[in-house]
Amino acid sequence: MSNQEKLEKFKKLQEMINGPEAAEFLDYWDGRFFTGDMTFIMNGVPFNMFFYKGKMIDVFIGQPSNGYNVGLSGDEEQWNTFFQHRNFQLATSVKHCDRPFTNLGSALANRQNNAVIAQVARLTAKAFCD
Amino acid sequence: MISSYYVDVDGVKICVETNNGPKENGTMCCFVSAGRDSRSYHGIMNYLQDRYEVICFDMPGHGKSWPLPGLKCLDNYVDFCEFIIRTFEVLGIENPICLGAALGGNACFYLAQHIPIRAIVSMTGTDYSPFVSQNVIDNLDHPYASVQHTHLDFTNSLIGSAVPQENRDLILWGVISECGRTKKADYGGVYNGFDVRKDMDKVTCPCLIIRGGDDWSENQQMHDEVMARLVNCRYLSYKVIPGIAHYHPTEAPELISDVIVQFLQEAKA
Amino acid sequence: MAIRGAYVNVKGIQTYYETNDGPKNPHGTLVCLHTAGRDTRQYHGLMDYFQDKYNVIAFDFPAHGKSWPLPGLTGIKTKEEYGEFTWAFIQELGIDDPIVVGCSVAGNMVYYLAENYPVRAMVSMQGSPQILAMQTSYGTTVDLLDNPYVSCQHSHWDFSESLMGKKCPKEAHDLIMWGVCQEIGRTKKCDLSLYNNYDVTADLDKITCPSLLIRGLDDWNVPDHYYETAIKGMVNCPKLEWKKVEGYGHFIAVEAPEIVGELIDNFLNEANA
Repeated sequence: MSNQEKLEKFKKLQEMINGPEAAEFLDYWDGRFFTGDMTFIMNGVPFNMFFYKGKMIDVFIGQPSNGYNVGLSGDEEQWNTFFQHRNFQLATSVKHCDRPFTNLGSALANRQNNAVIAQVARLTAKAFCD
Repeated sequence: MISSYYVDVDGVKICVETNNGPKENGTMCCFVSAGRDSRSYHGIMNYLQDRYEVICFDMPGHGKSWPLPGLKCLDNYVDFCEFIIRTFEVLGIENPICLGAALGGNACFYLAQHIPIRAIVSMTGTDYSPFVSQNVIDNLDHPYASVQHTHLDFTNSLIGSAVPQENRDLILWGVISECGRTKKADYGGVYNGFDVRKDMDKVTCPCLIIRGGDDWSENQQMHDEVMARLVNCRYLSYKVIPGIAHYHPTEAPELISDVIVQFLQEAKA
Repeated sequence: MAIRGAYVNVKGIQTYYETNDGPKNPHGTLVCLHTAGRDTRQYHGLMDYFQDKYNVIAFDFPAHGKSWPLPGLTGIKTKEEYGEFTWAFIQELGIDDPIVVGCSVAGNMVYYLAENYPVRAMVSMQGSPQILAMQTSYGTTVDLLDNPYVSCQHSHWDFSESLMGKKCPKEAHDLIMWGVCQEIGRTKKCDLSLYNNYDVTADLDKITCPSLLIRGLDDWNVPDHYYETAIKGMVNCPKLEWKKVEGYGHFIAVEAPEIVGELIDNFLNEANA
């Protein structure tokens, strides 16, 4: 998949999160508390999403201007493995995953937003694969 | 000896604690402050072991009771108090003596307005309590703010100067083990929206209102206004107790119990 | 609902316990130990299942459920403390035939208990005799459980959700997630520090009681090699069984109490414990 094709998938993700997935994302997964940048780096290419209170306002290829807030970084193999099992906790576990994702931003910010990042990652898998 | 059991109220599994005391003088039913559970009343339950049956049940989402469907708690005073009334029905409790602290103290006024009550004891309670700012409410159940930390200093400030360390520790443990979702429903919903002023003339049973002398969150005017509305209360008593503040049943269970027993005798309740 | 609760003083700590007041079974009394951060309600399903067959008792460890915390408002931090407290509880209640049943951190601890105390039998669910993870970045995660800027009642949400099995019924799912809502950060930090800094493999050969190991296969957090390590070391165990259960996960006693109950009963019957 080219980077442009991946960006189109993220725009599809945006429609999902702001549309049919919104209610569950905002309420059950704490989306309503999240405002800021969330970056997923896929094979060295950053895809940055900006949220305002759980609504995805923008997504583009590039780094956030204020530096990384929260997010994940992995190579193609790591993302493909995650897309198959879609277990965010396993994919980020240093205990049980041989090659876990790297967290972007501070440990604190990632803990604070654990549920939100997890759900965005799972919906990314859905947008890319389903 | 305190024991507990479970009952079903409206499909919710509710944990009930009792001191298994004698019922001849009446059954005391105890209601806790926001976010807390029946342990708040263990001191009173033990002290009155041989004199009164004392019961305290955990409301949905508190202590060992299950939450409402959807993992929710009661978040308005009408539903909250009506649930208490239905729990009384399930437990077969009639004409109880109701003891309440803070939010629980508020609930006592509602109960006395709606069902036959032998007497009420409202500790730091009131009939109108729009006291919680939206800023505080929003952060009680927030991923970025641990209520088990944010509420610690506030709670500590509301413990009286004469409270022994053991009791102080139990109150602080109550903060350290707070459930944010429950606290938000109690404090931001039930307590903050509580208003039963217009029906205070329906309260006819004996009422004891207790204020902690060290409680900076209350003032005399607040209690004066409540008492002024209790126009049909057949016996009204007001006590200010020095050295305690906001968590009376836990701060000074024996002292509070003595005050309550004396009140009941004077009121012939 | 025939479950009864009461309080007992154990090593100076007001300790809450529950029981189904079931009949005394010749195999023994089931003493059930909860997972990290949780309490006796996890075993209500098992208590109901065994209502007419076993006396089942569960207690809240210090700083859990309705038990008081240790002095300093904290929980148990070492396996030695855990073992001493558990045994003190057992003795306080006059239980002379304990079968220790544990899940997750308690699934780890039953190995230690069986190594050091005269238990009739042990049942370990989703446990391991060895987990050493605190020196990794996971240690930071554990540290952030008790932090003013992180509500563990939110930060632990997705992790707990991920641990349940595909077949977990809604009612059990909700009880497990309510357990997250009620998490105590300080307590959870003590428990997970204990869970992730644990190694009793050197003394597995001291276990001489019948031992049942149960794994819910949907639990990604507790892999097969934890059990393989245990089995390899338990060379003096007179009866050792490993049961794998499909469709259920980390909180298997809550997710599938009837299945767990049947496995325990069958095992004990066969072991003549």
